[in-house]
Amino acid sequence: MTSQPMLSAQELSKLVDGASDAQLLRILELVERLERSPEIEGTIARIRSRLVALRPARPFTLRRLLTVPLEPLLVPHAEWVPGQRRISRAALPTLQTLALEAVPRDGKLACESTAGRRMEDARLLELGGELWPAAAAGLRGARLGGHDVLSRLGGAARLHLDQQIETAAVLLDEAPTLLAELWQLPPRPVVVTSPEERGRLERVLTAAAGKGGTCLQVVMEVLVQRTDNPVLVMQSLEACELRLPRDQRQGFIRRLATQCASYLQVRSRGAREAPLETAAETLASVIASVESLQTVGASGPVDRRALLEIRRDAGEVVEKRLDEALRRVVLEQASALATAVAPGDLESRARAAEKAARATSLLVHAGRRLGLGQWVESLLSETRDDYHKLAREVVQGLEARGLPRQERMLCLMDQVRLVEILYGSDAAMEILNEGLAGIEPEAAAV
Amino acid sequence: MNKPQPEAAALLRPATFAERGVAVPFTTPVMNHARIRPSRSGHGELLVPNPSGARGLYVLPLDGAGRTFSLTVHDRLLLEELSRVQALTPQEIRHASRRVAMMGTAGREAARAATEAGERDQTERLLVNVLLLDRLFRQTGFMDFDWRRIALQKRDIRERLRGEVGRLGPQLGMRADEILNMLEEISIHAATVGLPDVGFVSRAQTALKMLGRFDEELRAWAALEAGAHRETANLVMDCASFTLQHGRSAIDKAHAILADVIGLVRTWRANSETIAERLALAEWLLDGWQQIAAIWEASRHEERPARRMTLGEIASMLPVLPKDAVKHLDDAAAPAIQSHRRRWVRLHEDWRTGSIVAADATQRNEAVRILDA
Repeated sequence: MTSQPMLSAQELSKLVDGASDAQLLRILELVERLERSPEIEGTIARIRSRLVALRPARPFTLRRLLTVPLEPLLVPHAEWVPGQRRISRAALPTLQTLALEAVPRDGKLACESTAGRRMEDARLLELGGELWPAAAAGLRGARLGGHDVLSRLGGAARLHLDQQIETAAVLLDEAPTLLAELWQLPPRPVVVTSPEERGRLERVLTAAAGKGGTCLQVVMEVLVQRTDNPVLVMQSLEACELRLPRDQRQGFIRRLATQCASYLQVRSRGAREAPLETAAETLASVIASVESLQTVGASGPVDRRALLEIRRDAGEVVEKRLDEALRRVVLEQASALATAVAPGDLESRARAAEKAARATSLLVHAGRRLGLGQWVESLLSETRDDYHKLAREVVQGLEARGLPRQERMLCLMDQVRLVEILYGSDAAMEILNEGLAGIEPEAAAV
Repeated sequence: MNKPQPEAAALLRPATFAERGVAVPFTTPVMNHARIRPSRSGHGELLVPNPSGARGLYVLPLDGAGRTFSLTVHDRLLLEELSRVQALTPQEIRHASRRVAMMGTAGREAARAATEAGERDQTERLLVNVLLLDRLFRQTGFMDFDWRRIALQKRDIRERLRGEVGRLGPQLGMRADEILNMLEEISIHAATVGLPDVGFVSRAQTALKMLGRFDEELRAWAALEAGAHRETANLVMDCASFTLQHGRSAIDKAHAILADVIGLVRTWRANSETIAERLALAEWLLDGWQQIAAIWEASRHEERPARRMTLGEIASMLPVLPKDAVKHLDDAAAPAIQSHRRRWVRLHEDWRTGSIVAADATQRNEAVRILDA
């Protein structure tokens, strides 16, 4: 990190707004070398959903090394709920500062020698194994010793930060073994596990329980987040050898179920205002978890009324976002593709429109899973003609613009691809055949 | 290296490269890793891996795929294009799939990549043609030939060359036009492997480099793996190393053929098919591997569990070496590709169509089209 900012937060904000994925990754590389200001952090927060999808290779820095163990439980500030074992992104800079102070000098030097290179898993575990326990001890020491940063806070704010410090300290302590185990699990959402994978979950939970209730709670939260399948975690806890009385074990499970339900409620409501892609992914994940929790019998630890309420909320959000996406968001982006712009801009516009269409398609799927199939089908059939009409207008417009054949073909295909994502390839072929007749009549019969 | 198990290996191995078929870059997830080969009826037929992930292939007529699976627009147009291809070789399939990608069926980026790759191929073919001619002049003792006298950018380049090439006629016993036509024909086959000691990296050499990088990255990634995943990685790495070794050797042998241009010109007419086969061996050996390397590359930002799935997918699509090829290779101990396949079906995925997760999978396949244009 340099002390000389190379561009202002305003410039950065302007750059990322129109950037393609490849450009965004290059900008991120640049930002990694900047002094972080709240404005820059804000800009990064705005594009986080895009970054999550792109999974950029981040260069190795001490700050990032200390953040990796916390990532499983990091949530946007709006989703953070007091009492839950999660960490708000707003608290992250403070946690990083406190952890950095605790890292011994030779650890910092070891990290500097690797700085800038790609973070490989093996090196991450090796270096992290040396530094994470020290950072965890530093965080606990800062809390107990009343570090300056903390003593300025009062009341609820201090209490909330203390909770997050404790969660972060557990994560850093457990990271060397926990991360390696998490990497061995199948991709989320984890639906079916092999005996080997179930054994892995049970081993992790047994080890955590041996270190006390807080550690077990944190690890359970991590596993729920990692698997998107709370019931799997509950079943693993039931199955493993814990030296806990039955009622205490059930207490942990009930607490987990309650926390899952309240977190799902928050996430589902948060999807109401989130950017389209984030909302679609959040809803898909919420539905996966709700479906998992609904498999538990009526006498189980899950409050079924709460689950029904989450489904109802999620259903309302899906209806609102899907209607808006099909009738306005994607249609506007499809129209923007028909206006004359430079080819480079057109490429990034097409990419953005396709992303929105894919998110819409995920919402369609979410709606069907929530039992809104009939409504979804009628919305799809109502809106399909709008896209068909737009494609027809685009082809007519292309004739008037006198573009070369290849460019006209690409413009037609932009529309065809959007329709394919939203309505399937049969609908897309209809538009393609009709469009080809306008572009080159002799090749129309594809 | 794994020793082949005779019965299993014999059952799995196709007799020839043609019988194994050529990898086709479909974007429909269920058609991933499908191959095309000539059928008895004269039209091509498709070999599609069993969609359930179990052992075996579906053999479908070209026009049957659309009735069996729900195909993307890209794949419908590609099937149309494939039905017009005369020779089912890696080169022809590549050209057909490029024509479809250039329409924008896999997105604007893939269209641009296909256009650029097509232009690069043409330039390389022309360059190989010119370099072969240059070598021919030198090997026949016409050291004074000066390319500056031939303005390469002019349209009547052939007319200008005819006069110069005419000087070689008596030595080779051919007319100038014959020599020029022959070199043009040879260039079509030679451009894929390129010529030794010249300033461009041929397509086969690029594929080898890509495969080498894939092998290296997979080794580093697999170091943290254990159990079944490690075994899968080992199998893939064994096959990659084997292909690398024999791919390099095939390119070297092709270069040796192209080094003696006089001999090549004299024997081409009688043995053109055999020589063309030798020149194409590297491309057949590497067919499918560039796609594999591109799939791994496209997953580089994924987390370890997701890459493990990608590795499983790669293991199920490893190109099997035909009996013919194994017989002719110096070291016939080709890794035995185990036929136990598996498939992960994710939540929200219809296993028959790959629907919903298919949106991501199709997008991944389109990204692979850009990397492997």
